[in-house]
Amino acid sequence: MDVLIRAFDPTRPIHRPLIPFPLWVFLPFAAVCVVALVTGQVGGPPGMTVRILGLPAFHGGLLAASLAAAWEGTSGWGRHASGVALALLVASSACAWTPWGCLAYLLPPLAVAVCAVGHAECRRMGLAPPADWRALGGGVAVGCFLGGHLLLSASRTFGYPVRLELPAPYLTGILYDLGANVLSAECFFRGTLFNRWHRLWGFWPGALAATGLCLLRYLGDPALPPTVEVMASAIFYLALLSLSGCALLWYSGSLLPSLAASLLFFSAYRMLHVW
Amino acid sequence: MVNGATGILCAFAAVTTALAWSDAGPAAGLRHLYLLPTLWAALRFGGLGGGSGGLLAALLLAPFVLPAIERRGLTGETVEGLISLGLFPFVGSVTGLLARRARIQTARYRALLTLHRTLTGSAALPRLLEELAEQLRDALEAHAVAIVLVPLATGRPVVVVREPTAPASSAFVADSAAGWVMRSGQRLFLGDMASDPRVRSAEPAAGPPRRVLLLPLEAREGRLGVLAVERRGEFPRELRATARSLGLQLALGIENACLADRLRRFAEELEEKIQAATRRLRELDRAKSDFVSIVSHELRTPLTSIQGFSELLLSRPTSADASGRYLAAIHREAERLGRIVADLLDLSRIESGQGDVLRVGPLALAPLIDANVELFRSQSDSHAIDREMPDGLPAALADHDALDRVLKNLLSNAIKYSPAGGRVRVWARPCAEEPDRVELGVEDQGVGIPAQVRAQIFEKYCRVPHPETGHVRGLGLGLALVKSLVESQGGRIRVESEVGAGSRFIVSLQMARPPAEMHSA
Repeated sequence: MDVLIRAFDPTRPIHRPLIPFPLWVFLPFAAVCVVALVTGQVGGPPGMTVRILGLPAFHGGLLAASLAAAWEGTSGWGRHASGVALALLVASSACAWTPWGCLAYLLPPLAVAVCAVGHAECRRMGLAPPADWRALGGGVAVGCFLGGHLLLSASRTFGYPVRLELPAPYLTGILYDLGANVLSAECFFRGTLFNRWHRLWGFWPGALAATGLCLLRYLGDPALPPTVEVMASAIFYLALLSLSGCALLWYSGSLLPSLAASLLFFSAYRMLHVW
Repeated sequence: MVNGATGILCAFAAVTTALAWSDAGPAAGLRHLYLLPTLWAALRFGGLGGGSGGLLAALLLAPFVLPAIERRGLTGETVEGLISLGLFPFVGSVTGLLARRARIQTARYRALLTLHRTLTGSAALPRLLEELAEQLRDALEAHAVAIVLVPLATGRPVVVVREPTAPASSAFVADSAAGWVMRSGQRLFLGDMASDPRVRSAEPAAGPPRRVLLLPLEAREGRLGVLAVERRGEFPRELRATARSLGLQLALGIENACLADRLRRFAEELEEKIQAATRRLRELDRAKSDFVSIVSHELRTPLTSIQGFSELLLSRPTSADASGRYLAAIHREAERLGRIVADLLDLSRIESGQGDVLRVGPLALAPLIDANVELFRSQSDSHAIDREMPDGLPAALADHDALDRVLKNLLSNAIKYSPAGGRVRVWARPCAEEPDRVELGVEDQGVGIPAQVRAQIFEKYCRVPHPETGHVRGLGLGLALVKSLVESQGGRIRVESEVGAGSRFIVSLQMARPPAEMHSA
């Protein structure tokens, strides 16, 4: 038992910062986001600069902050963060130039996986095999259930049509979720924020705080249709998805189950035609 | 756990299938069946399980309620369904919370009962601690429990660890968190072993925090040790209170067990001592009986002689020569009788602690030794009695009469216990190991003293039986008197002996003037 054998220093301060990474990590990414938004406003191709520069900067910022938190103030995370950001940039650029360029969104998860395999620090944000592989089944079940429920409720209640689009646009959405949207959200909100906060405050306060921020991120997403029923459904389902993700990470010590749940849920969401 | 969860999920699926099959509306009576798996989850998994079950029920019922609200608006039926959506999570979480609280209380009382039952058992302390650790682990739903006990008698910690990884290590480091609690006597709660800066785990990991509560085990006799409880996940306040209460009971119980253990050992020791004392008393009783028998015999022998010779003198006319011999015999036996009575009186004084008043002062050993050697030479023809003393032997601090009796006793024994004759050597010399002492020795080439009785020969009534010295009469008081006399002069006596080769009695006495003073003088 560690408490009997590990050295204990009562003089060390027990205070740990609420935000487990330095906020300046966001600065370069925020700057790129601003540049992309401004460029879009002043006459560039509509939405193009935002998609090519803004999206990778946003998701890259979240992933860089997660890596910085996992390294806990030591150096070495920067080149991995740069690699992931570069992979995101390549993916967004490829996606903008060619319909099958979306396949490049496989690069960021690959970069993250390589980093996780080579560095034990990534275990701190849950990039590790689950302690209990049944948790992965749980994640799949949660994703399928919430996704299926969303489709059923939305179609029965609001009459939104459910249909599979042509392969390329649907695949683009799925791969974007896999390579950017879900990956960055899980790593940042669950793997970094929840992982720190539940150790400080306990499960429920940590999960609710991380879920609150996660909801803000999605509600502020320009891709979300600004209708009341969609916003209300987003709050409801994303809150459940986030809480489930927190519980799965808490139980298994791995982000894989919550990644699976989110990916399946967003796969279902992409089948829903809300625009 | 999975089996329970599977059953609950199957029950939810069955109710949903029944609702879908019957094309139920928002207020269908069948919806109440969701309460069954919800309550099942609550009772099985507590508040979180009940809340999740209720939420699942609400999610499953929502597709039957929400479209109806969208189509018909808020009617009585749809409102009823809407209320059900909120009711299931509420009922599930409240029931689960209450069930969990009841379970914790039950576990606490059960643990208390088990603690008392275990502590009143007859198991040895380490085994007892193992059982207690297991009971506490169950009662507190803990991942691991450790009890570190420092018995006041030994000061060596006894460590018992119960955790799923087997075999559990029972190592204990003094500068660990448990050691700190032991020293400071303060409670300590570590929110997460993996990330607490005061004690950092080597392995970075996500997952549930490893929360540890460390409690000092305080009792009336002081700090007994530390109780450490580690939980993976939450460590609610009420469970910590339960742990504290159990820790208190544990400390008192362990103290009682230690006291009972001590009492048991004390009773065993007492019983052994009583048995030894009883044996000793029996031996003394037997010795006294032997003593009375010997004394009677010893007294009767000279008395018979005195009586016989005196009757001869009185009853018939005797010649002057015969009368002289008879009177000499009467005188000899009277002296013998006097010695026996003197020994008995000495014994009486020793036993009552009232010895003679000794006049200890500087005493030259040579004249005393010479006088005794001459005396015993004249009494024994079969022994060659030698003396050996260096020139300038310093005087000893001793009482003349007492040392004279000591020397006579030792010489008498040397002659008596070497029946085949031989050499008896009396010597005196400064002690080699202790420069301020003088040694006086009497050696013989007699039967010797067996090693197993050597320690007892200075005790009263002790006689060492030997086939060759069976004829030697005595009360077994001589050496006891010698020892008493030597010690009362501040001296020491020891014996070296080899069976069949002889014995050497050495009396060590304080020198009258240390050598340095003598030189300076």
